[in-house]
Amino acid sequence: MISIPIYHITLISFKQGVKLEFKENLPEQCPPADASEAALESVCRFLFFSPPDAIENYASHIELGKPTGSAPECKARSCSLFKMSNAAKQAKKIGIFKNRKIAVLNIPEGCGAHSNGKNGHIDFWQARNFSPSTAIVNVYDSTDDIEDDTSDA
Amino acid sequence: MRKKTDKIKVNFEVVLFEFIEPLVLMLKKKNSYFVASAMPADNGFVEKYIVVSVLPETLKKYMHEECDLRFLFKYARNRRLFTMLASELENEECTLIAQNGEPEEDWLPDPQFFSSSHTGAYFQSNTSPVTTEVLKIAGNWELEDFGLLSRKFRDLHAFMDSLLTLDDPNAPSGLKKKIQDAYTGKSFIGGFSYVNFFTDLVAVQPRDERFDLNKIYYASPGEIELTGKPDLFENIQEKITNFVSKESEIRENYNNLHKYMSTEKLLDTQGVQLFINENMREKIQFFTVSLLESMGVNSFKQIHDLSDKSAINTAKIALAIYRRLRSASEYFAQGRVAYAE
Repeated sequence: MISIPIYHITLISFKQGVKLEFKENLPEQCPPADASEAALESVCRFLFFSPPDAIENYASHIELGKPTGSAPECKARSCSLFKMSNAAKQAKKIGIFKNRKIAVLNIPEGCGAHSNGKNGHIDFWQARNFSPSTAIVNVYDSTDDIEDDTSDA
Repeated sequence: MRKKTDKIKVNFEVVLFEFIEPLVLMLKKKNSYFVASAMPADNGFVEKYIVVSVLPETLKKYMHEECDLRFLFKYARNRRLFTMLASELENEECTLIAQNGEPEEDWLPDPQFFSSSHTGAYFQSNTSPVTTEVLKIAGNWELEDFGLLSRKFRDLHAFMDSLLTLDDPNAPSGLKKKIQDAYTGKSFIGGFSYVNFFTDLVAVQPRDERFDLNKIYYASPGEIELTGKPDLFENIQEKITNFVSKESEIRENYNNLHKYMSTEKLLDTQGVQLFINENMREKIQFFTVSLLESMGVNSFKQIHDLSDKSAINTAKIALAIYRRLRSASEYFAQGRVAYAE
């Protein structure tokens, strides 16, 4: 009997006929079956580290060393992105985020898989070959600036 | 003087606002409330919360958007500040560490974060106890008609609310006491004494539970939009429908009571406590019960008890309820108002 290590299975997605390898060692059933590998346009990420393209800025909670407790491992191994929304604007008022810059990214198809959550939240599982620095469109201080730019577009 | 402890244990209650992570939380210890807001962190995730104790009335104001989140931490009365590690949320009880002195500005939420931003519900059943009811209007209306109809609805709404609240085992005892005070010790000597009675009943209602005339769309046909408690609107509708269909029977019961009270000179007492014998008491109670029951108000005993078992005051409340129902029902009987189908 041939034994196949689990990570060989979980690192690879065969959606759309293209093999996608993920940066992290994901658990079984991760990304979830309804995750999409389509492109993501104008998605945002709060930045905690300098410079904006520092790899830690796009790390999952597990990579950052956050104790995840009872949180599902699949989500804890995703990079949380978000679409600009009222919830994002409100979140920017809370201490943890209020002085943080926000990167806006355009992520091409095939750079990972994503699953849409509530309030514009997106769980993004990065492909092994994805470099966030190549996807950064701009970095903003405020959500209003992002909205201004978006409305100008 | 008792020294305030540096650490207290609280229970996690609910996540009020979540964005990527839980950012604003509700914590509780017995009847004490605490609100936590995620503090700045350099590691990319929530590590610590600034926590503030919140008085129930302040929490209610916050939930009703009469103040923002920042107000709780910066200005609220009798507040006490703490910090809490995010890892505490994994425990059955969370330890809060007292924070002495003013918090750093960076720790606090910016202005204008209101409870409407919450992603999680709390006090949901209490935050919006009122609903809207639309009445169709037609015919000729003067401005004072809107005011008159609105006042009658308001009084009936407050009166019925008072009885339901007193019957509600979950209603706050303080509220019940205020309602009882509105009934007791009254001298109904005509005119404003009745108005004051209903005004007192309105005044004890929590502000967000009161009846209000919300909108008027004046045309024929037009609409008026009322806000109030849905069960009370249903109750008022039943009573008005009943009044319109049994108007002559109810009027006869009113006349019987009013005539007897007038003959015995019990209506205008000038504040003097009148002595009535047992026979008079029985007659008054009989006429009062007949009037109340024909109006669909089956609360004689409750009103009687609230009125210090005064047969005269109970009768006068029944007469006052009649006059309000009659005024409101007249608009429906005249075809100028109808419930929307």
